[in-house]
Amino acid sequence: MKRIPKAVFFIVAILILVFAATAFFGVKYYDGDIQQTSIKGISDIRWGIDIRGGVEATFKPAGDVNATDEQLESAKSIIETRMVSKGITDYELYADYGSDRIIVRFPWKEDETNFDPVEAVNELAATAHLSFRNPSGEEVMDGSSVASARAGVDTSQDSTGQYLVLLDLTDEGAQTFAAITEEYLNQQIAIYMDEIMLSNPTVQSVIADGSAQITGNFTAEEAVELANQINGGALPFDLETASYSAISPTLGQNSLTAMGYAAVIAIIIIALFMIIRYRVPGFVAVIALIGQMALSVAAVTRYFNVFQSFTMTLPGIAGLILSIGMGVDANIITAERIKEEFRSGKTLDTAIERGTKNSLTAIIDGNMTVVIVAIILMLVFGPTNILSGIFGQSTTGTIYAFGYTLLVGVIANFIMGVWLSRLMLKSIAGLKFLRKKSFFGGAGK
Amino acid sequence: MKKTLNFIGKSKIFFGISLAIILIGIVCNLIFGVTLDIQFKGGSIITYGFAGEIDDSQLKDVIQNATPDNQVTFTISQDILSNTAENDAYTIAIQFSGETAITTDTQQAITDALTENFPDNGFEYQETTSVEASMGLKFLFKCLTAVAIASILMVVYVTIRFRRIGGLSAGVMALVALFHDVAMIYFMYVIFRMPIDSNFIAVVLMILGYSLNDTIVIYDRVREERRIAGPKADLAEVFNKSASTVMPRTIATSVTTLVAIGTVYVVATVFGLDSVQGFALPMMIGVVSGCYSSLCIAGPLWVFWNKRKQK
Repeated sequence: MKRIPKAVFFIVAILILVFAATAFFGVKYYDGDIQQTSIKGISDIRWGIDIRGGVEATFKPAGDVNATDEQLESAKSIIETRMVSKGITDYELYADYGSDRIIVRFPWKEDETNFDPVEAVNELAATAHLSFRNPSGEEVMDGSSVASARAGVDTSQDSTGQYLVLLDLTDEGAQTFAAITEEYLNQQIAIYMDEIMLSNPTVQSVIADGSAQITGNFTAEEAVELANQINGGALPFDLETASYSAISPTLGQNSLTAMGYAAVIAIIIIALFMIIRYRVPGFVAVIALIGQMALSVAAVTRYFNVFQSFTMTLPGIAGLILSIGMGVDANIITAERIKEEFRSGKTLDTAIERGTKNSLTAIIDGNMTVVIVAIILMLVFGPTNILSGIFGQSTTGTIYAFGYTLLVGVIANFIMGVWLSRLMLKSIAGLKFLRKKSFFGGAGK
Repeated sequence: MKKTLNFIGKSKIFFGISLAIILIGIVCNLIFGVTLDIQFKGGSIITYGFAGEIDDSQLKDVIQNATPDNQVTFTISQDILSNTAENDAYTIAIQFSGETAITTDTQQAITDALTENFPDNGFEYQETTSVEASMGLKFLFKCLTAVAIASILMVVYVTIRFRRIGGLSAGVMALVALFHDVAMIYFMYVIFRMPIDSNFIAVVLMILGYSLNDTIVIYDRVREERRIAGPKADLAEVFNKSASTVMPRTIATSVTTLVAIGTVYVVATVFGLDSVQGFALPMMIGVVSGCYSSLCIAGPLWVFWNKRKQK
């Protein structure tokens, strides 16, 4: 066996534990009296309505508009797109065609204290009508001419690296825009979102390549938000909020606390089982499992404060349980293989070498087939929505959440449960006082 | 060396057990039917406003007694608009799955029962809305299509990776084992009369992954044993030997998974969370079924298919 330096075990183990501590508890500091978060922990996870409760709002068309079923359907799917782009993958959305109502339920935001449900509801119900207006205030082009929008940074010379929104126009939109920029050369064209003016630039030259940009002292978040809103499209009519209320968790009060207890107890039992049954490989497996969970949690909280947390729902937790189960399994398969090698009389080093090698195909094949399932679920139920041609725009985020946690969990399993776990095992096997077969699951003498 | 367990020899018993459970499930399905949640079926929602605290389970009994024919679910919300410090205002939304038109009798019965049993809470009827299914048939078909695509890719993957042990047959039999597990979970819902909601989909997806992994681990061993034993070896013996050597792993993994989910179940019982129990129980059954189907369904079927081909 190629020896791995003994120090490797300690370095890897310490790195994993430090990472796990930051991923579970977060890193927070006080700036004066205000708590700032630099790395998000479990307490910053955004929980779905099923676990944490949330907001329910009923929308109806403003005024006396009698919406057709198609209009209501398109309004519903636009609200849906807005929620997915805001990272809310757990929601329930109903349309009542009889009374022209759209009912939406969505969870509390990650930090409840700052969460303003009224603002959130208003954002969802915004008409999002993007318009370009000439100096006399007439609308000359609207959002339907925009093919796609994305946030970017101003890279032109003498700029200060400002955030802006870049628009790619449709072919038709490009022609219209060329005509507009020609007509209003050296005049101002204002860009409005609903009744809010975003920017009022002066046309410097005729723009015929179908690209436009909106500058307006945006922060990075505002630019992304605005681009999402433009991509989501405009509602076919103005909406007003008929009612809204806070709802209790559909799984029952305390479900989060209960699941927290259950998780801690289950992890302790599994850790004891692994260490008692497999000794040193079991101990290494426990460290690797902690690392795997930390990676999964970090992928859910998005670790750094600049990213919005993923919404965890019951299916998301199911994906997590499955991937952790697969992680435990990978370590069990390896440890059992090492035991088998001892039984056929191999030495410590050979047993570890052969055991880890022979167990690899089972772990890879098992995990890869599950990865296939996870990726398909994400493609079908996520923002890419590959079956939208057959089933329409609507997606169900809860299933996307399952695919997401499962995929990151399995990737974490490859990093922690397969790669680092083996590295640590081969390294720790070099420690003199541990070099007994019985410590590695072989029959003791 | 440990004793070799004879899985193939007992396969008739295994198939018999599975078929019996499936038959019982079908019979129950015909007698009781299956309850679909309002998310799948659409239905009506009656909303009441009330004030002050009420015990959830007591409320549930009162409503259920008032309308014995319907399976009732409800959600309680805090009414932000009319909530004040002196007066905790709540609304309760009672959902009737599949009933797009609620009779005035039913509505009156519920209103009477609520005002009679909770006179202090000031129940007040607000509105009745009928809703389309938020995850209707379209959603179900979409799930099926997604699962079908994933299944085809999975069979392709298994066919390529396990071509030494008859690739395609291994892939198809793994798929049969998956259908077996989904059927088991579905019939558990039918037999225990639990409504099929989005939790059901989560449980099914989790068990699909779990069972698939279980089957692959055993196939992996068969692939290895077959290489050692050579192409002339009896397939039944090869499978029995492989399954027996993997047994310690199968037991260890199943026990840890069961203990973990069992912990969730026990804690949910302590906290009185019906819904979490209703999620953990079918999951435990799925874990048992997933492990059983890999050893007792996929394996023997694979042996029979390839033996027939050899003749």
